Amino acid sequence: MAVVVVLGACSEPATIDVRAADDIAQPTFATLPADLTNSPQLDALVPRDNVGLPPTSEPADGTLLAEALAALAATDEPPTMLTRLSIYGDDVIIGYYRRGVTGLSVSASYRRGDGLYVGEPSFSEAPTFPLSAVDPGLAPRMLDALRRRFPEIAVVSVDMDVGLSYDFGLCWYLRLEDARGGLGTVFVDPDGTVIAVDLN
Amino acid sequence: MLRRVVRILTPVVFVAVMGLLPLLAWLDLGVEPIDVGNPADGLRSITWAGAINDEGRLSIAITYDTGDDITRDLDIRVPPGGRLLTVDGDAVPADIGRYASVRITSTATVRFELPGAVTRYRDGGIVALAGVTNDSIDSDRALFPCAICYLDGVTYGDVPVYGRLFVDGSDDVELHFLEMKSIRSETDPGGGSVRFVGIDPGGTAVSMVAVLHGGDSAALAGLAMRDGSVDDAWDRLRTDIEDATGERFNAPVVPDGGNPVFAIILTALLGVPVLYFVVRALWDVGAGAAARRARTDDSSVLSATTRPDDLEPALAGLVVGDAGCGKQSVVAATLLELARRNVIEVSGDDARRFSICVPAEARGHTKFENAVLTALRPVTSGTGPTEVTGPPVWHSSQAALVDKTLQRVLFAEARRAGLLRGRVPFLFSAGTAVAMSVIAIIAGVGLGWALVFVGPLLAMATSAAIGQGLSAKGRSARDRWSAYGAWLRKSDAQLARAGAHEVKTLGDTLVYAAALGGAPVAAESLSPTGRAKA
Repeated sequence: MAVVVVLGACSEPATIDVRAADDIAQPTFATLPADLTNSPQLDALVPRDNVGLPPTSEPADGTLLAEALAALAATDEPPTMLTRLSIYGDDVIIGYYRRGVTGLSVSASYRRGDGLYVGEPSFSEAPTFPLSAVDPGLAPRMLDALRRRFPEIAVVSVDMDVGLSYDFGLCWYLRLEDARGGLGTVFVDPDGTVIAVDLN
Repeated sequence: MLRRVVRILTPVVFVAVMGLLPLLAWLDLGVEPIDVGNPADGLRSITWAGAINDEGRLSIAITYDTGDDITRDLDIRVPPGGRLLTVDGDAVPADIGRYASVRITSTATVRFELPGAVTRYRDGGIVALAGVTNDSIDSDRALFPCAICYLDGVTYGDVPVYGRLFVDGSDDVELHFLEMKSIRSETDPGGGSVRFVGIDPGGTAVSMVAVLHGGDSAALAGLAMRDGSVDDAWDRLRTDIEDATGERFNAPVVPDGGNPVFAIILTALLGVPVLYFVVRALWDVGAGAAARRARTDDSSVLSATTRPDDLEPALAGLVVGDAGCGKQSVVAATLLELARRNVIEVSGDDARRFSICVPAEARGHTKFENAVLTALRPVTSGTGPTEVTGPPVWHSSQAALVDKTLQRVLFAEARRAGLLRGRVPFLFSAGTAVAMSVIAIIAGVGLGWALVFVGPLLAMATSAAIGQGLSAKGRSARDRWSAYGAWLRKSDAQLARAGAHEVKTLGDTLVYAAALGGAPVAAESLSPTGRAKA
């Protein structure tokens, strides 16, 4: 009998009803921190033990972006829509359609000191995104914040590409490496909100 | 006194017990709780909460309550576009932001934000947490993914789902669910959110579409407006999903625990016996008052100089009953009638001393006459000759039994003659009880099955307790015989003083006078109780 009583006391309620309003709180929305170092999603980025060794790859240089976009704007037919934007340690690659013609894809490479080099067109139907979505000042701030918080990790590339944005809509795709090699990816909204961390 | 109490209490009990049916029917109109018939092990409940900001973005919190302290693996799936994933407030890494694995104990709250789930139309908006992949419900795009698939140790069963959708500035939100049953919802007073509850049978993914009526909701203000109405959009979405998956959306239902029509019918049916009892009581009170007036004042009764018909004297005395004044006895009248017909012999010269001789072959014409003869014969004499000297004719120890026995026989005879009927006809009260019980069974009201059997028993008890009254034929006979009795009481002083031995002289006039109160001396001397009535 005692067992039955205990089981009865622990069993599910026989009936349920709509919960009282106070029992279900309203979810809140994330806010963009003034200092990107404090982005809450970066808590998901846990560095690996690299016995103090620094990453071997050259980190991306966010300051190149503003220079590259300025050089692009100075071309004869500056694009308003891009297919790709990639920032590396010493150059920036910009993809777009010449004169806005889909399929007529060109890739421009910017290196500090060499200026902007625009390659020959090749066929591509990659989706585009507006150049206006790119904040040239965000990349150096974001990279600086990550470097300060995770000195043992290098952001080796920063990409904006519809394909690399997955289902997030348009976002920055930051590839991370440490002394062991590839570590993961950080997805950042165009406004600087760190929206996800994907570790290898 | 006891009989009077029983007569009052029995119909009250009948009405009170049968009154439970309409009472329960009315109470059933309230919200019925939802039964969790087969609860799943390992997942006590899922609580979903969502809020929409002015950009149409959802902030979602899903709380899994396992109901135990076992540590389990939870594979997290968030819809495409989900971001800012945390578990119990801690950010967790996730493949392309959507897939993660954590270990949880007891409870865990998964939070994320989801843009793109809200679409604005000219007169409202749609929040779609439902999707189709390969003609099947897309678990990842649902309100929450399949729990039994992604949370270790959960067995197949019912999972209670609680939820609340916050929609600023909207008080007309229509919810539709896939793979959820027994749904209830409540819009909070003043709007702003709608709470819901339901059962996830099997612990699989549950999808939800919320239709927001009214285009001025703050939650839609920052969204681009699409062509068409929200109802048209919902119809299309519903058709697309239902056609593709074969599943059907369920909406929160109005509690179906009770139907007001049944409650009204049961109340009306209860009113019938109540009304009958009240009218009957008022009628009896009025009739009683009239009878009391008649007993004290013969002038209120019209006299009739001739005997109305050949009704048996005892029955004449019965129908007149209390309506006649003076001492009267149906047994005395019967004995006098038997003596008048020479069935028995009453001899003597004085009302204070006479003897009754009952020959062995003495037989009456009616059952009551035979019952009186039988009662008069001592048990030891059988059907042999008997001589009784009186008064008193009846031994005091047997008077009450004789009175009761003869009364039963006389009542039965009166019923056969159509002079009496039940004050509360059994068929009427039992029929009402059965009808109410059957309707209660149809309406799903508790006690219906019990009262379909108990009701007729109560009806029988009520009819028996309230007893019998004069039928229309009986009332007509009463009026005629009362008038004749009044004439007998007023017209002949000799009758009032006449003793039983004078029956040969006075004949049937004395017989009926004894029955109707016109021959108190003869009536009293032959009555079993030595009083009037019997």
